[in-house]
Amino acid sequence: MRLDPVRLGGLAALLAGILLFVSELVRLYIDFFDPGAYQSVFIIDGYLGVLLGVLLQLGLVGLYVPRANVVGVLGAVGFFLAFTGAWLTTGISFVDAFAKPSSLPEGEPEEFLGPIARFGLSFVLGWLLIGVAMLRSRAYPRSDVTLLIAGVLILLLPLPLSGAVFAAALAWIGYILFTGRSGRDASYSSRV
Amino acid sequence: MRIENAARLGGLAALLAGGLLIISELLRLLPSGSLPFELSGSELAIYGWLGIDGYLGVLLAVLVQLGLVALYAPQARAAGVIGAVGFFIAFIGSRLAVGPSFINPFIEPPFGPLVVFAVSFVLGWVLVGVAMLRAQAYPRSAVVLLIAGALILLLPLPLSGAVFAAALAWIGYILFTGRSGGEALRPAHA
Repeated sequence: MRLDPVRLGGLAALLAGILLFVSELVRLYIDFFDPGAYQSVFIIDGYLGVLLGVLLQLGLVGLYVPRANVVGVLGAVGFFLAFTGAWLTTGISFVDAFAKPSSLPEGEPEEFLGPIARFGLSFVLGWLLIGVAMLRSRAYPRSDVTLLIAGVLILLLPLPLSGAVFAAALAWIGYILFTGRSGRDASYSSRV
Repeated sequence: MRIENAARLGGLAALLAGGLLIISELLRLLPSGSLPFELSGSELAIYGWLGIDGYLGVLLAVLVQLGLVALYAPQARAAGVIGAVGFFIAFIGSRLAVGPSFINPFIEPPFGPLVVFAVSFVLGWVLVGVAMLRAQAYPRSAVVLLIAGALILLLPLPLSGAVFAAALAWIGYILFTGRSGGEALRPAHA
């Protein structure tokens, strides 16, 4: 049986986006409706966290590798930063998908600024560079990549559902790769 | 500037991962406490979040994962379902079993359960190796060394990671240079 690695990479991105969206919803439910509900997901939180972290990394590979030729050095640097950032800041917990503060600091500012700087300079900056490289090279539809860039910047905000836009953009591009469709955007060209 | 061949970059990652892993194995032979970057406590506050050992460990872990992608992706079609399953298990295994420490990169006993290491990292790499062997994707000797190296990792011996590291670096070198050594490197069938 032969497999299409581009489609598999797209599937990974699609699943990562969906899982991240579910994670955001679960977090919202626990924070605002039923804090005790975390006890019921505690057992599987770590396993799902690893799965989400791995799918985020594989989704990044799925997005980058088929377009590596066109996104150039900027894309390569962004890919390495984002991949390392995903290793550093995901994979521990499903409910807290990213190792970053989810609310404004109540104690020392360093406790907030340190983790947010790590997250910003690795994961966010990496995805931002990849997004810019993809936008310049028209590797994917402009609307999707713009949403991806906006989504990754919104991730920095300590707000509920801050990962929802990024998750949607990731799932969208993953869907494009998985199905081979480009939507309505005529500028999309793989040029691979 | 365009990157003409992403497989070469991936090969470089595998080559560097193998090289770093060998250095790590050699450093572990040195007496404990003789290394300048084994930090703890207040020293970590000076050198930053993880310390030098941690930063190098993260680099090694990321390079092992990228090396795996580089080995698998160009041959994904030829490697089939076994290769895909092995790749996924090995990728998760690399995430679970390679920790942020350069001196002790593998989270083996006493740091973690042996069974987790065996059924994730080792099994995944063995399956990828078997798929590569069947697909004749890389020189047979390099892939056999990779499989043997992954299995030897299970032994609690000094330098147990050296064979795996050498095989990883060898295949990385093949991808990076485009050379196949004495044996014919099959096309990717892509």
